[in-house]
Amino acid sequence: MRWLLPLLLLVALLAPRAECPARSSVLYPTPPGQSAPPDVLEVGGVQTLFPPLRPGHPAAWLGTDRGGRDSACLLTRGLRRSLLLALGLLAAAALPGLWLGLWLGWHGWAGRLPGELLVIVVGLLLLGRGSFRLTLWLGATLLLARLCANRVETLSREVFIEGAVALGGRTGHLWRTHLLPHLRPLLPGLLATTLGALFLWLMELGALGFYDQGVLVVNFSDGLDPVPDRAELPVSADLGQLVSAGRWAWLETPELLALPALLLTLLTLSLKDLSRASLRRVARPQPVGTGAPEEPAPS
Amino acid sequence: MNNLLRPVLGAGAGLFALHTLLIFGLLRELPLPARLSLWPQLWAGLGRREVWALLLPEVLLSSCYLLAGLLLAWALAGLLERAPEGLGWLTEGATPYLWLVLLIWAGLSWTLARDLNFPLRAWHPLMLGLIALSLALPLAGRASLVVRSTRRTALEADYTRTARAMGLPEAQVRAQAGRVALPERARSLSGDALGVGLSLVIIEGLLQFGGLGNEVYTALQGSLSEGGVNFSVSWGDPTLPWQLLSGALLALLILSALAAAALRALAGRLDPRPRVGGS
Repeated sequence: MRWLLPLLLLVALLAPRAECPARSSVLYPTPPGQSAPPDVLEVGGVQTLFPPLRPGHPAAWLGTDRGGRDSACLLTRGLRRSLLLALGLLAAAALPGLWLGLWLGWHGWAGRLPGELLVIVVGLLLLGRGSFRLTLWLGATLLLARLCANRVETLSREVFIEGAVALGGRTGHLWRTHLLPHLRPLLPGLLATTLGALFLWLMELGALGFYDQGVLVVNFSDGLDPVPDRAELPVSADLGQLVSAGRWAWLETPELLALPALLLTLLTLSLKDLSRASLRRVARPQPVGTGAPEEPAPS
Repeated sequence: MNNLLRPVLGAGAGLFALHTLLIFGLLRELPLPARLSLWPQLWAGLGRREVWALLLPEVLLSSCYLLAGLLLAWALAGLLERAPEGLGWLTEGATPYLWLVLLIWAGLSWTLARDLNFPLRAWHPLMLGLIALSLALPLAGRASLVVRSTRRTALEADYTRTARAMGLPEAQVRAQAGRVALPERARSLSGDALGVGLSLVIIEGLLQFGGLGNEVYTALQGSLSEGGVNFSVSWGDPTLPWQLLSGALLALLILSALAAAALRALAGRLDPRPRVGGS
């Protein structure tokens, strides 16, 4: 699945920079010689569609949301924002997470860390939506620390470490000569796992109603209602927020919930695959010496 | 006795702390003194008959989903262990609610095209099956991957090499490695039990089925909305809905913890390695 990652990055790079235009109706002149689709209404002599359009519609292939914004635009922009958000959080969590992991692993305390999702949910409930980034950062730090601490604990039980300790190796020597050189190649795998978990959390939290950006509240009336109707449009939304917005009418328009969640799933799966491949490459035994395959001994 | 009592007390204290944190979070729009004064009343609600009369049908529904999901996950994990490994990765990667949305989307499209009704009712066998399947797929995928890895390790272990060197048939060697790996299936499912509780909150909330999860989901959405939760409009007794929410949250946590404990006990029973102490 890791081959999907460059493709998703390319889509995110090509995403429109400006906010997707909202439309209360979509003008849809039926091409000559064709009959109008059943959802086209004639308003003031103009053939018009009212959002949300469903996927597969010629006017918007992935459909639109309730504000008439093209889902293709929303999803690509959401992908870009999710990537930026997750990469920013990972960059902020990398150093503290690794330091905490090394320290916990060295003392054999890897099992003492609480579950990350639990910490995030409790943190968000107690501190509110405003702490979204803070709690996600905390979760990423804890996850990275746990992954790193587990590796340090596993390495500490290896025969060569026990041998070095038995021969009087000091702490600094153990870290410099044995632990850090073994941990360094694992780093990309650990970071990819944490990034994948961030996307998974965006998906879970979006379904619970927690997201990063604000929403544009539109009160509108057709002149017949004494109380205006109210619509909330997510602005500059990441995929998690699109999930959150899509859940209110998911039985009528399941694609508005499923498509952002599917994109987040693809990101998670491709990152997991990347992490697995990276860790497998490290675990593969290398020939002794320079790393090149050994020449067969001359007979 | 002490060996049994200590983990039970530890788990009870953990559940109590978690419940307190979550309920304080769900009541966030109330000022802290009001939350503190309400807190003893929430526990007192567990002794009220009205609370239990409302809570019991919810407990029944959610425990039914949980039990069906875990049983199906156990069976599916066994199938996925024999399927290509990629399938395990794929099923593990998606969240339960995404599976549910995709399954219901497919079901609705199929039935609407044929002018049939799709039974969106909490106790309908089809919905029970779909919810159990959605909960089970990620759990089963994860468990199958763990079992595969443990079986691989067992097949590469020194004792397996010795068994092969002694001439034990390969089928017997593999069967023994499978037995060694089987408890890991139960341990993996047990580790995910709290996550299943959270998935139940989302799934029941999306479908608005009257289970424990929906109770928590509704309160969460209320606490996130601008006006906060305002139960007193529809309820005569203003503390009753809070007591119901507290009871629902506690019951959900207890159900998840019981499922985890049962699966851990099962893992211990299935472990073929000799036990120290001869119990």
